[in-house]
Amino acid sequence: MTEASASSFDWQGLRKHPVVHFALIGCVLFGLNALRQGGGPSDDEAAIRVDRPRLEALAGIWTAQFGRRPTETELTSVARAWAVEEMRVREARRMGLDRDDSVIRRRLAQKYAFLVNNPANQAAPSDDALRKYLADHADRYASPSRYSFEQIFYSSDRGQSAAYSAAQAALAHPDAAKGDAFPGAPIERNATEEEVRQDFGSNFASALPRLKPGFWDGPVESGFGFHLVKITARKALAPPKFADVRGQVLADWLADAAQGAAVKANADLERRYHVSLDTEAVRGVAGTRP
Amino acid sequence: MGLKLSALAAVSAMTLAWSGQVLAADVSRSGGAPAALGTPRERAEERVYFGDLHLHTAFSFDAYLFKTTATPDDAYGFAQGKPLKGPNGGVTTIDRPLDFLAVTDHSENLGVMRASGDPSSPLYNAPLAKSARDPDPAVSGAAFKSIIAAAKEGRIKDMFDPALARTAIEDAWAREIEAANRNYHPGKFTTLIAYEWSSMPETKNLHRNVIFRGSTAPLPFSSIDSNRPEDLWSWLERQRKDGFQVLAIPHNSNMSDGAMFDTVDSDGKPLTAAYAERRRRNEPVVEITQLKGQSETNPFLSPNDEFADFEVVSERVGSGIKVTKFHGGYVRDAYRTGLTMQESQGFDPYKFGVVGASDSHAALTPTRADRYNGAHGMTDALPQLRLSCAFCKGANDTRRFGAMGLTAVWARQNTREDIWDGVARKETYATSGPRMKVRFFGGWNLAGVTPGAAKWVEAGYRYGVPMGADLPKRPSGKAPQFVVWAVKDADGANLDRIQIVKVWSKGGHSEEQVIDVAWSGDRRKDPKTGKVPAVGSTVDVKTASYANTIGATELKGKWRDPNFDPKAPAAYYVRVLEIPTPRWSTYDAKTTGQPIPEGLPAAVQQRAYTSPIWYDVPEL
Repeated sequence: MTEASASSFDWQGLRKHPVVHFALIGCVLFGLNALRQGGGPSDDEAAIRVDRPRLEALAGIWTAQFGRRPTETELTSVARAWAVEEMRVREARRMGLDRDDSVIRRRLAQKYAFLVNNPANQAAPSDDALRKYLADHADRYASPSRYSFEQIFYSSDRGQSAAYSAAQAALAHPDAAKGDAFPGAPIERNATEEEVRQDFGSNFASALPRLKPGFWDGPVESGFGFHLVKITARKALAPPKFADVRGQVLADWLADAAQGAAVKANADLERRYHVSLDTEAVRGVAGTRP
Repeated sequence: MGLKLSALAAVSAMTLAWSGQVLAADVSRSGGAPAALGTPRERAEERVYFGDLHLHTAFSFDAYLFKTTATPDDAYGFAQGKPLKGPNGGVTTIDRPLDFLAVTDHSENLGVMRASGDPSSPLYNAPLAKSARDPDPAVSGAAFKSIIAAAKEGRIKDMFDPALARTAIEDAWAREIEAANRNYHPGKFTTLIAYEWSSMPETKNLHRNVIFRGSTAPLPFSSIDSNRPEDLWSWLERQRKDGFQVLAIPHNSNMSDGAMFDTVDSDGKPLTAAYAERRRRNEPVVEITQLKGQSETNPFLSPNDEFADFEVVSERVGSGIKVTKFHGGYVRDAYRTGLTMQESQGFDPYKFGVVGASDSHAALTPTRADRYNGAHGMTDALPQLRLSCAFCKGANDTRRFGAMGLTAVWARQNTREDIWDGVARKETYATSGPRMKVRFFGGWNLAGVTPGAAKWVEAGYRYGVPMGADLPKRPSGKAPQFVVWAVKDADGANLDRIQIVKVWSKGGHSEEQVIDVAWSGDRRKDPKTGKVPAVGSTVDVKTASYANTIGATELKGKWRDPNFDPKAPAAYYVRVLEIPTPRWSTYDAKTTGQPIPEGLPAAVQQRAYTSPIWYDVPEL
């Protein structure tokens, strides 16, 4: 800026400008307000009363932590500490420090979610309700199916294709067939699918449900060779006894109830709030993957 | 601050109260009285159950720093076959569910590091918290290294405000117990309440896993309370007096620089009969194999054992410092030390059985080389990261880690009581991952026990003792006889051989010998060395594959000790070897098209080790 241009500044015009009037009025109002408040909190805001309900609450927290009521000295010092914290909190709020603080935001959201999601908020279900829950989710608690079967085994120690051919040939006359010695129990009794899997391998175990009970079927490949299999018994899922699984059912019921409550609460929120996302802006703000 | 703390304590007390409400009906400290063993006929009906007794989740400070986010619930879910989200994307599932799992998070600041990532926790402002929650594992890894350094100097307790830490620990421990109880399905899937006591003076690994039998457990005793094993035992003994059934399992003796099976106690004093008795009561088994290497033996200690060079890791825990003292760091060597003490002083502190485990820090148990997806959170959950060892600097070389292992327990049924009791009586074997079945009986006259014949297992229990037991009193003039039997993993590789490893002591001097007892094919023992030649290999490195065209599906044998000396106390255990299969790094090399890193074998022979059967010289 040059000397000439500075001297040619229009002070008169500025004095008449409405924006300047607006700013001046604002300054006066701000000044008046500051005078009224004495630069600090109002009388109401300045009063911190540590009254009986507050003391009861503080004593309760103390008791939970130390297993006894606080003494007079202890309670006084806890109350003083609370008052100091309260003063700081009010001062911080006055300064607007609680706004846009990510920790406070998250803590508030968490507190809300905790209230809504806490299984302890669910009323304890009746046994009838639990029995119904068990009936509705019977497969969750059922013991697995059990298989009993006989088998004629052809070991892959003969070579894989020789074992397969021998098993295939034996299928024509299974009752006359003499297989190899199986490394394990030749007859499986009441075995779960997991147990069959451990004894025969995954392929064999997954083939089992497809075999026709009461007939020689196969050849089925195991981890050891090929088998002809006759399922002699297949016990379906046994319904669990309520008394045996009550604890587990109760835990699951509470977890489900809490989850249900959370879903409902979210739906409520979505009804009451309207979120609009500026997808244009998302594209503008986002970067690209390196 | 004091008030915030109190409020947190109140909330955690509420959490505890709620978990108590759900489980009050079934809470038991001991898990019930020990069940009597069945008759030989009943015992022959028992099955073998496979599981992992050592695994970490995000509740462990180090797993959290590796960016593992999975919780104990996730770990128990994964073991039962549920998919688990990987830290670097993708989803992992186990090939076959496990029968049991103990989540053993580090008790030192249990859950504290995780809590420090929560903005609503006062721990959020702890000194380490900022780098700990940094999304870059290289940054959080620096926090890991500073903690290891602090542990080395005994400064771990100064890292967090003790009162804040305690609140977080109580909360995490309540969650661990809840998760274990919630996932326990007797007969189908067993969970055990457990934790790891992580003592590591000078980064010499003295870690123990503490495993409870019941459905409740006291707040853990950590190495911050004391890093002396003797103090841990005192605590375990107090818990037993209070009704809790509990045992401890040492692991990674290979990383202890000879300190795990020392000949002196924590004060440097010679071991005594009382020490031996306490150690055996509190620690019936030792973990012989896991990710950070096997601890059976190594080529330095066993130069005549051509299979000793298997997944050997010779670094101290959490650091690249080389192990310089192997003596006192391996199981076979500990048996030798113990038997010599037995012979010369009349007590054996190292009369323990063996188990296997993963020690995964990613909430998942890796048991198969072809499915290995790392075990340390974001740092090794991609093949490229594993091969380049991108996050290894200043820590362990994770390329040397093996994708293993498991514990096998012979038991009546899959329940907490039966699995825990099986471990307590040492009727266990360890595998490097495969689920082969192994039987082992010893006795003075096993003429009536023919492996593979009808009712032979019943006969084994009737005329002999199983793995983990002592031979009965010796009839005069007899040498011990052993029956071995192994069947391949039904979904895995064929077997190469069964070996008996004999360890004994005579004249204050210990010896070891490995004897081939059963093997596949028509191989003959070399008359000069007495050894069966190698089985060969079908491994194709390029395609990372193998074929079961060599080896056997089943092996069985009987052996009487020809050099038995009734004046020499001895231990006999079984080692079963599979045929060579590709190592996990070979699968990664194939996936990425990169070469196998130098120094790593393309193929390994996976294996099983049983608990020993002991012979003791009768007192005169």
